[in-house]
Amino acid sequence: MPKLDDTASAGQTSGDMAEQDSEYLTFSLEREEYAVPIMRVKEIRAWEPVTRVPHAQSWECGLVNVRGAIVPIIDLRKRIGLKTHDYDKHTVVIMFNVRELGREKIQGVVVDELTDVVRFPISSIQPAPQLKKRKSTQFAQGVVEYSGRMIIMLDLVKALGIREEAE
Amino acid sequence: MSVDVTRFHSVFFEESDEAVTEIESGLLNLDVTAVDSEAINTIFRAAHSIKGGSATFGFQQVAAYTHVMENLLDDIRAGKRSISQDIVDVLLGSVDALRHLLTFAKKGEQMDVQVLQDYLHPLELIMSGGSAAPSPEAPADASSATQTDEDVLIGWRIVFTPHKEMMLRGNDPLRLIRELGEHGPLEVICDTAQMPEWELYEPLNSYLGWTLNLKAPVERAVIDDIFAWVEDECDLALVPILETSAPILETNSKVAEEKKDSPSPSQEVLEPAISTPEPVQDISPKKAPTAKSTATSSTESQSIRVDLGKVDALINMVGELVITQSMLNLLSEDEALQGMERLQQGLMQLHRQTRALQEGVMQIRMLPISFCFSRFPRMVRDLSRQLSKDIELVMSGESTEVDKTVIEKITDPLVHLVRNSVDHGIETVEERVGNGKPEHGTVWLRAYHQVGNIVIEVEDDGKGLDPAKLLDKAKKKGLISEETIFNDQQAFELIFLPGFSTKEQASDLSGRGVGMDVVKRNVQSLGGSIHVDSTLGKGTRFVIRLPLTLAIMDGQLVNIGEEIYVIPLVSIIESLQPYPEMVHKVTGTGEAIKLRGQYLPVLRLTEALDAPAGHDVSALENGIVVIVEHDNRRFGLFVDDLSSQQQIVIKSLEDNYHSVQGVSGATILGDGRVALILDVGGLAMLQKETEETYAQVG
Amino acid sequence: MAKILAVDDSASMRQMVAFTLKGAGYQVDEASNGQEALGKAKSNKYDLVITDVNMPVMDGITLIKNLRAEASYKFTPLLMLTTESGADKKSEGKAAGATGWIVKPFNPDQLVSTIKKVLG
Repeated sequence: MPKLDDTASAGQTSGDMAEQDSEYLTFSLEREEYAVPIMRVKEIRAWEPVTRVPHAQSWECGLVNVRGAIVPIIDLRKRIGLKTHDYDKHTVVIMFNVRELGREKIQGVVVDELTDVVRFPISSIQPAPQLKKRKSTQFAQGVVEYSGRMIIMLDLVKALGIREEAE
Repeated sequence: MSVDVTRFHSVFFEESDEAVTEIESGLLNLDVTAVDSEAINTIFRAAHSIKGGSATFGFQQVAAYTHVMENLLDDIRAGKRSISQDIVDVLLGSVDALRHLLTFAKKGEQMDVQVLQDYLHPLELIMSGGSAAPSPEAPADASSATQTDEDVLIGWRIVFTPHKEMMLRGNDPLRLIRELGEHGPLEVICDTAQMPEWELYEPLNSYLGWTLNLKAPVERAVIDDIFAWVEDECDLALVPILETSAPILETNSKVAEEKKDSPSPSQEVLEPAISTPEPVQDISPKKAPTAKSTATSSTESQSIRVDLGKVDALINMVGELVITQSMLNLLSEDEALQGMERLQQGLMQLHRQTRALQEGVMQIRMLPISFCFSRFPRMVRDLSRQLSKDIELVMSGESTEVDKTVIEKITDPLVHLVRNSVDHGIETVEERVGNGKPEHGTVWLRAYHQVGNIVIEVEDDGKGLDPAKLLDKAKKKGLISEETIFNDQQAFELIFLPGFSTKEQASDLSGRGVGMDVVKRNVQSLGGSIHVDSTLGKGTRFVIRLPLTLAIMDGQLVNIGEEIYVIPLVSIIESLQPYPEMVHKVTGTGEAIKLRGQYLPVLRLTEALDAPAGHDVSALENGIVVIVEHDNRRFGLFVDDLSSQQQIVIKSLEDNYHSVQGVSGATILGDGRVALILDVGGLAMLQKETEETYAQVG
Repeated sequence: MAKILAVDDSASMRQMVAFTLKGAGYQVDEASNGQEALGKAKSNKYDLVITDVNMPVMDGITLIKNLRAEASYKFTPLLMLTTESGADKKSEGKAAGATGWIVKPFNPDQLVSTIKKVLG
């Protein structure tokens, strides 16, 4: 199962020149573009009705059935603190494979729209400017300049509230 | 090439654990007055197999330890040492040692050498004390001490004459010659003198002999190694070729000579000279092993070892299939399809088959409860020795099958209950005799099935519980108020209260910080219940009821607001739509309904679960009150409406999410949606909290 | 590709033998006791059988005895897996018709080189 460092090894198949390149899935949220390592993406699903969980966090939409597994979905807009908008035909749920305390988990994230699959070296990721006013940088791991666009690297661990194991 | 053997470690540990248990139960069942050779063999085999595996996988300490155990067992098996209760006790001790060693090995750690020595000591004492067996370490044979210091070895002359039937054992002389040739230049002279006349020639026989001059100063052991497999299937003479002197056939022909003299191996200095194929059994009166051995072989059903993850994946998949099937069933109720008889028939068949498949798959997770029970004979034995009590453990229903997870989780509570019976239940021999009871006490451990549940009972014929004493203690500890009136049964149940302990003085046996409340909690976490009944002076009985499996259950679907939840059918006493006159607003405690003279508090689930309200069901008489029971306490759950009852597949919320108060898990409904399963125990706590808030406010 | 039957009641040992030999390019079947092995050996033709000695139901020596009695296994290499302490089993095994033995503990490389030699 993919871990963070798998993103590097995934790029190795593409030849010597692109040795350090990794693939990222990008999506949009309130006119900002975000990227997540494609190795972490299990699948993309259309928005479907969820089962609400009593007393859940405000950004937790609920649970869906992913081939027999009960999977929680969070709304990334609410998580980041942006204003919500109605789910439409572009609304998708990205299912992530994550590792929490030594166990594989699946978690879904609702985003506005998928935008691209891009490839860039890890080294091109810059530290995110810590702008207190901008909510979008709160869950940013870094930023990347990619063909004139600014892409925010989403900090999945933070956004999904993953408890990390002490290595 | 190189193979990573660590991948086999988990299998090795699993089977070692089983083997240790096998040794233990073998020892416990051993009757020293009438030793069954098959029983000894089984024990030996188990120890032997741990040894083989541990040595191969590099667990040297385990290997060293089992080696000594094995030697002792081998002596017993071969009749070289007769078995006594003392030896059985030492061997039982070594079972513990072995478990301890394996725990270290599992962690990839080494045990402290001194500890290992301490463990080895009793075994070695037995081995050294009055052994009839010859020391296995016989002085080394001097067969290779023929070279004088002045001569320099430059090679070997080997005269190799296979016996006629060598090839009939799969050994090919050519292979051996070729192998010899790998060590240096080899001169091969074939001797065809033994070739028979053509008409007498048997193609299956070997008639040739060879003189092989190996021009390489290899060690003798290398050559011995090559011919090791065939040493008693050929005549072999080995002569060192020395630089100064011509090879002379002399002392070294010893090997060849011996071969001709006797069929026994020559340089096997390490081996005791036993050539009898059957070990001689000269221990005490030999019991005909028939009865016991058939009993053993009946348990040896064929099995395969499967990773639990694979089974669970399969169960999941079948669960999906069941959902798809119920979805098809739902669709088939469509009027347009009513006329299509063959389709309807097919769907019926699909329904039956999926259910059968589901049951079959669930069966895979089931294990006989003997996996858990097997530890108790030893435990009771050890404890009663320690306490100088005379206690017999009588078990029944060991083959009752239970879900693997249930077995794993019920073991600790059972250990506690059995310990308790031995420690506190059964009186000392003097007390028993004084009370006119038989000297030896009995603890019963039973398992059996009862309508979709498994029941486990722990019973003893000890002193029983004294309700008056229990009440007294509970009041002193402030667990109940002075004026509360309890009947005997209610008094017994007090022992499950947190903070309650009947111990007048903590013994080192049961006083390990685990109370009956923990036992109860563990049982409840498995969706089960525990009850106790007792007769003062006669004994105590604990009855545990558990669901057969944790993976499926019968559920009642209910509508709460716009949502659907599942209430486990086992918790439901009844459901009713109350008449307005049944409904009571109890001052300070919220709502209640009066049912057959009893006031039952009601918890509104829309509120408790913070559910969006559906149509107007604000008054209790407009909806349904589901009466549930938890911990012998009944209360009502107010829902909008009842939906269907169905068997549901239980899914954990914690796999991808986390636990939620009032919810025990989730399931997937026929339409693919997720529904939450309500946890009646958790809701009971919520209900109490609401009551308390009301009390504070009111 | 030579076909080998690996017989051992210990799953870990058996899997290791099988895995190792498969890695060396052999086709390997497994059996967990002599009885099962005998059944498989009768319905297949193996080029080599490697068996543990101490096993429930049918031990390795009885297996070897039975296999040798089969016409199709007259010349087939039949190897025993023994331990040093089981040394007396070697002669017993030889008497039953075993080709040779491999002493436990062994490492995978030893196993492969021995089998390679036997199968040529």
